Amino acid sequence: MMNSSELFGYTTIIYLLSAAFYIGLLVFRHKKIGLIGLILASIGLLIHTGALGLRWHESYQIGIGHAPLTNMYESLIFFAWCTVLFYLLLEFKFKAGVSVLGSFVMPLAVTTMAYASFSTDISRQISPLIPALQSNWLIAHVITCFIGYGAFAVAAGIGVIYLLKHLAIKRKFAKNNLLSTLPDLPILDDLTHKTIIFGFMWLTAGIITGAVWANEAWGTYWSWDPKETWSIITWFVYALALHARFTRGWSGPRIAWLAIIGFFSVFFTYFGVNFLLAGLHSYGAS
Amino acid sequence: MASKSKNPIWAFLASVKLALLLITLLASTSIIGTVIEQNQSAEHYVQKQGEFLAQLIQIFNLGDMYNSVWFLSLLGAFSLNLIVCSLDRIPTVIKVVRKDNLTTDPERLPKMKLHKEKRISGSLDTAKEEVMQYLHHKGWKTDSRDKEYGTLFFSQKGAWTRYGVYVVHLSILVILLGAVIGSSNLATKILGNREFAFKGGISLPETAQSDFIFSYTDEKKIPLGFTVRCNYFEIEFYPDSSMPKDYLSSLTILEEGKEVLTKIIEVNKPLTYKGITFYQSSYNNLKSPIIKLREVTSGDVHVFPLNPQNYSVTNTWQQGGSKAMIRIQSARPLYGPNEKIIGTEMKIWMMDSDGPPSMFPLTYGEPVLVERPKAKYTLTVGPHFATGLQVAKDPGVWWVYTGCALMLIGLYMAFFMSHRKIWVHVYEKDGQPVALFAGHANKNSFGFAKTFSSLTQGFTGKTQSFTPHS
Ligand code: HEM
Repeated sequence: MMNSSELFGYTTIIYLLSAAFYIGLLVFRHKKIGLIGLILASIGLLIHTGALGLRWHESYQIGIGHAPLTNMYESLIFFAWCTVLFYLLLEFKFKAGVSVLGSFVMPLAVTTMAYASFSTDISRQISPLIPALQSNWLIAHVITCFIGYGAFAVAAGIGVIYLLKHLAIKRKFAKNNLLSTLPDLPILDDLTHKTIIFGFMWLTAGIITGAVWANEAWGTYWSWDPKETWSIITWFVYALALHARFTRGWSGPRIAWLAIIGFFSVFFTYFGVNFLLAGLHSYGAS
Repeated sequence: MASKSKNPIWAFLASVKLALLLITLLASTSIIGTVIEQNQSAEHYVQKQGEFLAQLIQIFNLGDMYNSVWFLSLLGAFSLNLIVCSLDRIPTVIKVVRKDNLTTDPERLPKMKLHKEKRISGSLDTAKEEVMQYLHHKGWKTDSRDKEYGTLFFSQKGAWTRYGVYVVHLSILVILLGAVIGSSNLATKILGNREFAFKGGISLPETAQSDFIFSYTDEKKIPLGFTVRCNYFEIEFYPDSSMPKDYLSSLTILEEGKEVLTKIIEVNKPLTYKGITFYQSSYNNLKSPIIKLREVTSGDVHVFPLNPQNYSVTNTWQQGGSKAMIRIQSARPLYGPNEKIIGTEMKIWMMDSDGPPSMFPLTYGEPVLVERPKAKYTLTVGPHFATGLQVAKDPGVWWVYTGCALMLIGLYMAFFMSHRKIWVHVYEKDGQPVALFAGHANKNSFGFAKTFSSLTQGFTGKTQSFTPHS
């Protein structure tokens, strides 16, 4: 009988292959290569989904019984899941126009999965939950936050592509190079903005569900612990991006930079706080 | 409003530039409090950060920076900016929402990005009727007005979604207001009434009660206005593990000695009474024994603290409407291999409404099942616990929750809904009726373009059509 760790392993390998094909698409500009990347990513996502379900089931079998969303390992795996899912939805919605984005998003998913599976800092055990973490609000909190994080990861990816293409055009690189496969700048710009909006909605919901959970668990919806503070910093960064664009007409490189800075802030909220700072959320560190 | 917007102070407070500055300042200064540990003693900072930095921390109150005057002022400025900016713009938005779009000059329609001309056979009057019916049929309620040539029809959806942004901005203010209302600083320092809002706690031994708790901020007593009793406390562990799975306490609220409410609280499942919420937060082992008796079918639990100096006290409780009794007849130490005392074995005498008394031995930590004619009991002797309760009164929390709900609704309105307008000018051109459709949406123009083209394509009624500028 297959266990969930093995399935996560297969997922990682399939994502790796998918990433290779997407990069191949970037280099060789042959539509079929991108299609293979897409199919692989979809198969990977299915196995990934199955593995998450299996891990959930396994936790019940050993008498612990909780959704696989409660420690660093599980949250990384879930982050990769959200990122790939969000990316695939984007690709289905906008068709092949955005498929080179896969060459940025899939490697991120592979790195996350591999880091979760091999890092020595991370425990891969299904561990019992202390009472404070046994809450449906916590599950809602993790899911909403990570959907937001997945979107922000994709937005940052598009931001990077935007800047590369922008640079290439400014430097007047030869027309027939890699970057000419990328979507046009205004499309990338619009996509960054829409992705940020989507992420912002979910991040807001994530912060709110987190606050409700904290209030149910210990009577304080906001205590300025480092994780909470960093989440609000992240929220401010994206609010800034929205206002700069909407009211001051910022677009292009500046929004691309804000998407990247925002993702750094997400990254710090998620990792930096656990590994560098102490706080209530330090359960995630083990 | 026009005169106000000329006032430079008002213009400054209403500006988005100020908003961008304040948001940047809030985001960047917030980092400080995540790097410097909060609420530590002055010595701690000297030790950790050195004399010089410790002094800076002292001056700018960085040890409690989110309550410092400068940070709160920043939040205040942010709120003021938000209020003034929104007040400044709302009149314009109201105008846009209420605008009479039938005053639009039909000459402008062909200049809109989305427009399409359709020829209609028949008379001008039937053409007008047809357009009106068609729009109505498609769910666009129309008004109309006669123009110099022909008639202009107008219909719109989602005009109110223009308020979405202001719902979001208002929600921020509602949340901040809730935070102020629920702040214990406001209660003690400004209202002079610490019972208005507080955070505190108390440790209640099983069977003990209290009508006050201790404030977290200054450890002073805060009266509850009623009494809370801990009936019993339980802790459950994961199998083969020392990790607690659940703590629970049975609490009873008493008013003037009368029981009004009994509830079991757990972590994540608090009890609220008269605006005061009791959270299960920790526990203590008091290192003395207690008997815990659970009636199996009803689940009722009774606990009897023991006095190791004098075991032989008769304890009574109510069982099925009559009195039941339990007594320890004798207690003797149990010896391990090398004459060490490893426990106590007690002889118990017990009786309820039916049948003869039961007599049986009971050892520390080992549950016993007692079957009586009308009831079954499990009995244990175990440690006497005190439950650690966190107690909070936060009259602002419903403001905060309302604000949160408003924010999500407002964001949805602002991002995912749009104000869509359709005009149709029906007039006569070369002796034949023509309908000129035009449309505009303030957001999601791509999605609206699809709606518009399916609307115009659907309008064929006995007509041939052509697009003038394609
Ligand atoms: C961090 C807190 C804030 C949040 C979450 C927020 C949220 C929003 C949102 C969601 C929008 C709509 C943007 C769009 O449609 O793309 C918006 C627009 C706007 N915001 Fe804020 N806002 C915040 C703070 C402020 C402040 C302090 C000001 C004060 C000047 C402000 C002024 C504006 C203005 C002028 C608009 C454009 C409104 C319009 O013309 O339709 N915002 N805000």
